[in-house]
Amino acid sequence: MTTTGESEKVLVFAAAAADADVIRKALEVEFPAIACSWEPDHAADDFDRHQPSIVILAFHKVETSEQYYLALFRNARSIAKVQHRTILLCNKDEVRAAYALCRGGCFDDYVQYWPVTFDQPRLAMSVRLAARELAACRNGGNDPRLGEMARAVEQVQPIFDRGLSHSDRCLIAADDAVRYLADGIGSAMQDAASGLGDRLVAMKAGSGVIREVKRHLGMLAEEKVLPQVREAANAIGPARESLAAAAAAVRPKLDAARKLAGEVASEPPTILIVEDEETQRRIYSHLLDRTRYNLAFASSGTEALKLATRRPPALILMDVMLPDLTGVEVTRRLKSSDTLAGVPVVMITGRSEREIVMQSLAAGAADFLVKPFTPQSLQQKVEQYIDPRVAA
Amino acid sequence: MSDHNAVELEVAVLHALVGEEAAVVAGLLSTYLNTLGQSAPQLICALAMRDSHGVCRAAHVMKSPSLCVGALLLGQLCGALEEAARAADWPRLDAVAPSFEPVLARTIRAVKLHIDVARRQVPA
Repeated sequence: MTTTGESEKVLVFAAAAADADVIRKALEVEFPAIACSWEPDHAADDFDRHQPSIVILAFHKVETSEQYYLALFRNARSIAKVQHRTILLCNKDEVRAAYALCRGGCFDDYVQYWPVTFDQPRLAMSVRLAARELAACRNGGNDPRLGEMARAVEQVQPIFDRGLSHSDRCLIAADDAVRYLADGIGSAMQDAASGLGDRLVAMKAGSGVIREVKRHLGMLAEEKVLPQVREAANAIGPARESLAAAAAAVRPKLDAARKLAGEVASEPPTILIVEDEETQRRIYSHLLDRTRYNLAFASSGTEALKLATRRPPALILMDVMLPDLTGVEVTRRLKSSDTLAGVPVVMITGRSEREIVMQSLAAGAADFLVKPFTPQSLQQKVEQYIDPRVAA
Repeated sequence: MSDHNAVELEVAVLHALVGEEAAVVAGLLSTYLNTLGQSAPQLICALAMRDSHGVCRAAHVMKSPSLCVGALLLGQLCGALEEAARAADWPRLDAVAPSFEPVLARTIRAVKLHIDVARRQVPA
């Protein structure tokens, strides 16, 4: 990475002003934005005020650091929102405990500092590495899993709209059916009354009888049949209201999820380029449109694994020969991780590296690109794994 | 082995890759010079110490950027050194190695010359 980290805000927490001051003096030449805090009662306020990106816990006991940091998490309002890295200072007798805490993810790094350190620049190096990681995270684009979620929300919206529209049509049809039924029964009763009246006239029944029969039929329709039809019609009303209320309740949430998904989807996908040679890195930067892709660079296998773990990229372009691990080994490790196994790895190889290509593919690499490549071949290879519509 | 037709710096190769904008070309060639400055001494040292892994690593680092910027002769030479070093084939390395330093020197001269030319084209 090219970021050097001088602008990172560093906050040193210590038990005494003298301890904090020693550390500040050791770091301030390289990291001028450094502040100290040594009053436990002011620790949370100090964090909120400085909003540091790198926190150094400079206590002589690891346990004190652990408790101090937990208290910060409880009391500092901004701690969960401020992206930061933690460096734990420890004495020589507690190196293993410090390592265990870092391994477990409580802190990001530790530096053996007391009673005396024989590696004076080690702390500055740790701060620098933390700054690089933060820079990579800031530039690292979105997690492809968020993209999947965005697509899922996009798929839910039309299903919801279709479901709602279908239910609405069903209710209208039911409403119409009841209305037709009511009309049908009404006119059937009228027809029956009129037909019966004609028959009674033919049978020379008295006008009083005819009136009575018609009145009785009218009453039968009004009191026995039509109330049941109206009841059926009325039952549709609450169903419609209930559906409208459910839609009103769900729609804002769906809209919010959709908006969020849209924002996530609008983040360009990240390509992690694992390449330790600067000319090559500059060529990648030049060839891959930064408005379409976030580019993150790792100069070693270890850095690649760390960056990929912190923020899974959409694609990894991997050089074969790296200073620490081989590209094949890094690929193998990536593929053994549940969260990273799905990230496509394209090996960048030379013409004479057929055997390495075979090993890479066996290790789980998705593809390979032979150097020196052309701008078109690189772009085609990238678009094979990142949908150009997503990256646009 | 190196191709006899290859030249110290075929800048058209770099132009085809990144275009002809003078500032971009000068910047990339400067970065390439830095790479040579770091890796060439490592390669020379590894050859002297007969450290095939070191030769392989340093030659690999120089090979790709050399081919990308158009330093074809050096790129091919590094490729040959890398391949021989990977096989720990010292007779082959001994045959190829003597041409490394002269080719390197000529390449550096050609690159510096082109950086000067490109910088003169960059608008002030």
